[in-house]
Amino acid sequence: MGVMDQIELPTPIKYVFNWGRKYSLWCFNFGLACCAIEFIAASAARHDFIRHGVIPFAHGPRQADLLVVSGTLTDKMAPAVKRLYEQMPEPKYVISFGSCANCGGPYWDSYSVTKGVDQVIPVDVYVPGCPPRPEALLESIMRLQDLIQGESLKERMERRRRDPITLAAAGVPERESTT
Amino acid sequence: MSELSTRERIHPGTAPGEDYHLEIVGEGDFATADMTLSIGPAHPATHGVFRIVLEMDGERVRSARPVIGYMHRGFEKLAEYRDYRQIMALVNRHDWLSGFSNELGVALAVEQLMEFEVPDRAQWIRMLMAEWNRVLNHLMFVGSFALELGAITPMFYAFREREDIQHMMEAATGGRLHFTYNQVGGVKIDLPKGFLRTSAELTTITRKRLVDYRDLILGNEIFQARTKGVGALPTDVALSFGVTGPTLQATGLPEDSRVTEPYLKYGEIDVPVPVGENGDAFDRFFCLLGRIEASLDIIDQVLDHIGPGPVNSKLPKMVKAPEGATYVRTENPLGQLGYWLESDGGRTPWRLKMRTPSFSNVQAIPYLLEGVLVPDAVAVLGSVFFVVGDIDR
Amino acid sequence: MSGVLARRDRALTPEETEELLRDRLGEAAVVGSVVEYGVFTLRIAQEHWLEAARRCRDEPLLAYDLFDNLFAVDMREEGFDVVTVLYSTSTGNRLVLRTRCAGGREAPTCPSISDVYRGANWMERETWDMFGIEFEGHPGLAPRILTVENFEGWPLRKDFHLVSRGVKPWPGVKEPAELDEDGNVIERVPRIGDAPGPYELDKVIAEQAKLANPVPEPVTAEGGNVEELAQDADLASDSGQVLTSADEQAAEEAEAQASDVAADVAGAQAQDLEQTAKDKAEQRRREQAEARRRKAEERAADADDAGAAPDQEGNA
Repeated sequence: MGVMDQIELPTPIKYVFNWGRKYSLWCFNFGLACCAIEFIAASAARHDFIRHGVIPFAHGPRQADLLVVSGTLTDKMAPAVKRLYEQMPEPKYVISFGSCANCGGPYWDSYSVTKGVDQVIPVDVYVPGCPPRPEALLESIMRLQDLIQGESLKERMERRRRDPITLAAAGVPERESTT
Repeated sequence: MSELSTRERIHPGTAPGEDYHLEIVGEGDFATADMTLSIGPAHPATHGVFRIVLEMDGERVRSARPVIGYMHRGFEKLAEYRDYRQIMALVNRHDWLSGFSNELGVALAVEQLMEFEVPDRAQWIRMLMAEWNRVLNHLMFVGSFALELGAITPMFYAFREREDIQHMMEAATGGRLHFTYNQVGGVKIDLPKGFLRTSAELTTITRKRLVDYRDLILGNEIFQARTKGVGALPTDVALSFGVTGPTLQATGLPEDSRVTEPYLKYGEIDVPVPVGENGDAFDRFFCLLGRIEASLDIIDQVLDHIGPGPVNSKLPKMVKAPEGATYVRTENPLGQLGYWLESDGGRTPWRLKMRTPSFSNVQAIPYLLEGVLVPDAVAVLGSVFFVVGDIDR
Repeated sequence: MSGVLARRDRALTPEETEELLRDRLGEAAVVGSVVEYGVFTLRIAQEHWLEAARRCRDEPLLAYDLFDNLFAVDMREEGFDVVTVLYSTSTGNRLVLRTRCAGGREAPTCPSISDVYRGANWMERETWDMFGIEFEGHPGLAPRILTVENFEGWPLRKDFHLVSRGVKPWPGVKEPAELDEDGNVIERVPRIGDAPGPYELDKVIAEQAKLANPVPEPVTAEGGNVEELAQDADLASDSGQVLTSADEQAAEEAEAQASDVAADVAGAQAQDLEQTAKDKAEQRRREQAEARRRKAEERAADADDAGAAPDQEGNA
C-alpha cells in the first residue's frame, strides 16, 4: 500500500481513490456450508453480482480484497480461516454471511461449533438469515461499498494496528495441528 | 557429489539418524522422494471443506487419506435436546442440497413410532417435493462436476434451472434451500394455486434442456477422455463400503430403495432406475443425469395421481413418540439415508442416528484413488458425489 | 430392477434367519430377537459378534452384502449397545444386530467387524469418537475422526452436557428437553443480560445490558406481576395500528394494578417499582397519542388525494 495508509489524502483524491476501490473488490468465497450455495446462486446468471463490481473468481486469498465467510465455522476449521485471513493483503474486508457465521445460528449450543466467525477474525458486515437470500448478499455488498466510500484508509489502518485482530478469549488454537 | 548419500542430497541438513517421513525410491542419481500433497480443507477441487492427503510418487497417487470432520456440527447430540418439531428445522441442514428429503426420513420415522396415518394427498405432495428436490440436487452436481473438470458453462446453465425450480418450491414452502415443509403427520400447508400447472410446465422445460446437457457434457470428447475408465469401482467393493445412490447404480446394480423397499406411494408408480456398466466416473455422471430424467418421469406420474384431500392430520399438543426403536431408509439424492430413531417415550429422541450416504461413499475414495494420476484424482473426487455436511453431520 | 425383485421369494423369514444363526453359531450366541415396526433385531452375545457378522455376509441363504450402518446407543447404567444394520441386495432383507459392550460405562469394548465389512472402519472410528468404545482389532481408531483432535470427552454419552446450555438458557419460552417434577414443560421468561454467552466479551456485554435495562423484580401480591401486565398491554397496543379505547383502558388498568401492587410493598424498592411502571405507562400513552396523530394525518392525506371530502377542503 505504500504511503496510502501513512498520510491523510485530500478529500477529492480520497473520494476518487475510494470510488475506485469500492468497484473492484476481488472476492474470495470461503464456502463452508449451506450459505455457500446461495453465494454461488448470487454469482450465477440470475442474481449476478459482478454488475456491482465484485469479482468472485479470486484464485486464492492472496489475490483477494474481500472475504465472504459463508456457513458454519467449526472449532476444527477456525485455525484455517484465521490463516487464510492473515494471507490476504491489506486493506481487507470481511462479510459474515448467514446466521452460523454470525453467531452459531441453529447450532448455537453445539459442542463443536464456533460461536461466530468474529471470534476469530474481525467482520465488517453481517448478513442475517439461514441461509440469507442472494439479494441479501447484494445488499451487504452495497453496504460495504458505502463503508469503503466513506472511510479514510489511514484511520482504518491505525485502528487495525491499535486493535490486533483476534479476541484472545475465543480460545481458538493458534495453529492448525498436524495430522 | 559421490560422497553425499542419497538422503543428504534429497534432504540436505539432516543427520543420518534423524527421522524423516518421506520414503526414497530408486537408486543413485535417479532417486526420488515421495511427496505428501495435502489438498484442502479449503480448496476449489474438493468443493467444500474436505481435506485429502495424497502420498505421491511423481504424478501417481500411492495412497490417499481423507481427513473429515471440518463440518462436524454435532447434529446427533443437538437432536437429543430438541423435540420432534424442532428437529425438522435442524435436520434439513446437514445435506444442504437435499433439505426436503432429509426431513422426510425423520417425519416417516416418527410417524412409524406413533403409528400415524398420513393422508393420501400429503403423501403425494411429499413425493412431488422429494423428486423436485432430487432434481435440484443433481443439477448442482451436473454443474460442479463439469466445473471441476474445467468447464465453467454448465454451472450457469444448471443454475438457470435451479432458480426456476427453487422459485416454484419457494412459493409452496417459503424456503429456497431449507424447506421445513414436512411435519409429523403430513406437510405444513397445502400447495398454492397453480403449483401443479407450474410443475407440469417445468418438467417439460427441464426435460428439453436435459438434452442440451447430454450433448454438451456427455458428448464432449474432452469429458469422455477424462472420465472413461477413471476410478472404476467393482460392485462387491461398493457394497462392502456401503456405497449407495448413483455411485452404486453406476456399477451395474439397480439398487434403489424407492423400488426395493417402497415408502410413501412409490410402490404404486413406475420408478425407472438408470444403471451403468463399468462403475467409472463417466458412468457415475451418466447415472446422475439418468436420475434427473427418472425424477421428471415420477413427477409426471405423481401429477396424474394427486387428488384433493387434507394435507395434514391434527397433532396432539405434545408430540411424544412411544418407547421403541425403528429404522427408516429413504432414497436421498446422493444415496440411501437411514434414520435409527430410538425413543424412551419422552418429548425428545433418546438416540437419533443418521446414516448419511456421503459418509459411506467417501470411504471408498482411498480405494478409488490408489494408482491414479493427479488430474484424474480431481475427476474421481468430483464423480463420487458428496456434500461435506452430509459426511460430517 | 426386476432381477432384484425376482429373487425376493428366496428370502428367509425372521424366524428362519434366527434359526439358521442359532444353528451356525450355537444356542448361546443369539440372546434374543424382536420384530418391531417391521425391523428385525437380533441380540448377539458379545463374544460371537465378529462371527455373527461374518456368517451374515458369507452364508448364501443370508447374503447380507450391503453394509448399512454401525453405531452405539447409550443404555444408562447398563453401559452401551453397539448396533449394526445390514441389508441384502439379493433378498431385500434387512437385519439389525445388537450387542452389549463389555466393560460397563468405564471401559466399554467391542470386537471390530472392519475385517468383514470395509465400511465398518470409519463407522467404528466415529463410534469411538462419540462414545469412547474401544473396538478390538480395529486398524486404528485415533486420531479422532469428527471432532477436534484435542477434544476432551465423549460427546454422545448422556453424561456429556452441552456447555453452551449451562451458561445460556434456551432462547425460546419453552424448554423442550427438560420437564419439572410433575411432568410439565418448564417455561422461562428470558430477561435482557441474563444469559451471557460462553466468552468473556459476552459477559461484559451482558453486564452492560443489565445496567442499561434495569429489570424490576417481580413482586406479586395477587399472583400477577408488574412486568407481565405491562407486557400484556404492550402486546395489545402493538398488535394493530388502529388503537382503540379498549387498549388505552387496558394500559391504564395495568398502571393502576401496578400501583396497587406497589402500594402493598413498603420501602424504597416499591417506590422505584411504582415509578418504573408509571414511566412505562406514561411513555406508552405518549406513543399511542403519536400513533393516533399519525393515523389521522394519513387519513387526511388519503382524503386529499382522493378528493373525496370536499367539505373538509372547503373548510381548509
